Amino acid sequence: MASIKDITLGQYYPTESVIHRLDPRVKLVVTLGYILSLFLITTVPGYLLAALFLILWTGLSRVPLRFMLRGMKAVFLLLVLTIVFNLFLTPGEVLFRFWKLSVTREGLRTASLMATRLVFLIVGSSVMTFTTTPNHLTDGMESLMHPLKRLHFPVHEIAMMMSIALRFIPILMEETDKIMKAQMARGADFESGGIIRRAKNLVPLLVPLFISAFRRANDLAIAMEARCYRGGAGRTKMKPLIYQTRDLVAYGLLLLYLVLSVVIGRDLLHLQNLLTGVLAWRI
Amino acid sequence: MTLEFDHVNCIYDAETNQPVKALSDVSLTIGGGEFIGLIGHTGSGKSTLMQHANGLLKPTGGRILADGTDIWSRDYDRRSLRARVGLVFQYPEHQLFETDVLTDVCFGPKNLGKSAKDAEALAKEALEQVGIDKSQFALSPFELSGGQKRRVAIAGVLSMQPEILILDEPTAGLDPRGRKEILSLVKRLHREKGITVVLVSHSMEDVARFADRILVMDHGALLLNESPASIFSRRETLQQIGLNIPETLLLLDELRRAGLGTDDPAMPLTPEDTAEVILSWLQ
Ligand SMILES: Nc1ncnc2c1ncn2[C@@H]1O[C@H](COP(=O)(O)OP(=O)(O)OP(=O)(O)O)[C@@H](O)[C@H]1O
Ligand SMILES: [Mg+2]
Repeated sequence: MASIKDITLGQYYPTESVIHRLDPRVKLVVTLGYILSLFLITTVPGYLLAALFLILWTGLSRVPLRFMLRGMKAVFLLLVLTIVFNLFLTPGEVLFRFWKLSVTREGLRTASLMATRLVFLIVGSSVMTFTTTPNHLTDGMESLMHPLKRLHFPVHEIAMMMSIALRFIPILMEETDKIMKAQMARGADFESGGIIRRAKNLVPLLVPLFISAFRRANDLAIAMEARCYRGGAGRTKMKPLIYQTRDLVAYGLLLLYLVLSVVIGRDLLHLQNLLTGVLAWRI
Repeated sequence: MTLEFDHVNCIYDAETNQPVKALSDVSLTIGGGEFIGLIGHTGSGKSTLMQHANGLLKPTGGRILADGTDIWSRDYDRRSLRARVGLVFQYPEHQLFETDVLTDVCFGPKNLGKSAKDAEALAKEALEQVGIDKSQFALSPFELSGGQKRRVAIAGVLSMQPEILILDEPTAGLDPRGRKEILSLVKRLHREKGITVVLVSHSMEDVARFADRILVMDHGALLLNESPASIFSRRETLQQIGLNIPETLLLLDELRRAGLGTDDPAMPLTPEDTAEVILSWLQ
């Protein structure tokens, strides 16, 4: 059962902080901006800048470091693989040999940059989920995607589906836990045996779980209809999202950071290539 | 068999910033063919306590001894413990999953390594005990009524032949007739099979009628552990934690206050007995 609790989806960490109070739209945009910057940056000073931003971003959120790192456990394998492959498989000037493998200067460089990028990316985006409740997050997404409505994209419906799904994750996890315990009380064994046996042993868990999920879905649909829900048309919000001063300040800081990361983070030759590329494309 | 709780503590979500202390320093003994009532307000820790009894939850402090052996010592076979301490969960019908009633009840014995034939014999016996007719053995569990489903689910635990039977709010969500049927079933099992029964309930009336001993939980602590007579003489204590003495006794108290009757310490717990006491006062 511990295994179920380890899945930290929608891993909101409740506490008081500036980041918690920021508008969810700001947090979404900052996260996207930060991810973008990580792909733009190629130089070491650029990475230092990104690190500085990350320290500020996580520090202000007041989420303890060990919670952040817990999320890293899941991608640890990916991280190791990235490092190993880049380290040994990048051709270039050989630094030293190790059994049949050789480490090159370029390999060392790419491996460390890739690893840093990956860690920054995960920690940077997890701040958003740590400091924003799932409902706020979907609100933010709905609001950001609002322009797509013009193209008849069902923004409200998708946001509603997302918030229902997110709302149901903890409920279904609790339900799984309960059914698992109830079947274990009848001698069921979910922990031992080979893969086929284990899959078979899941039947007593999955059947009741599906039945309960359908029952809940049905109940929810009836409850929503009983309250006259009929989609997004003409629907207003109880707590509309309104930008505060701090949100504008955050946008300003993000812009500054993005400009700096282009100026510092890219060597100018690259930039020039990029610009000519863009210009060529325009013409 | 006897189960002994020795200063048991339980903290949920201990590693988050919102730990929930669900049990604090609970010590008690269960066994000896007693009928025990466990009562307490919502969230007082009743279900948590009972899930410790068969090793589904591990105490964060203290020990649980089965016939003197710590059930969390290494190499202890907790699966066979779960057969000896049968736990019927709240809304047990939600755990039904097989295509027919008989097969579902066979699930427990089969998990204990019984042959198909023995399992079926045990299942039939258990179904008979809970009053499910032979003609219903081949039905899908989902075709049965709420009360019947619950009895099938109880049979699912009984078929493992537990020495201690714990029922977590077995009457929740049933109509008065269904409640009565389940309660008299439990009473009969206790009398005929001589097993120890723990009945968890919100209702003082249900518990009062059958229990030899009543445990009262409050905020994770075991507040009282006494005979019904002694519990019901503590009206103030019970009312302080949001419980009350049974309605039959409340009625007699009111009548006494109105000047009818004597101060004799009669404690009738069924409506019939109460009527007799009132009659004797009137004569
Ligand atoms: N899986 C869990 N994770 C976290 N907290 C839990 C969990 N299960 C129970 N709790 C908390 O532990 C406390 C005791 O819960 P428990 O279910 O044991 O109460 P109860 O007496 O059975 O209540 P009820 O009468 O409503 O069934 C409650 O505060 C509850 O919120
Ligand atoms: Mg409970």
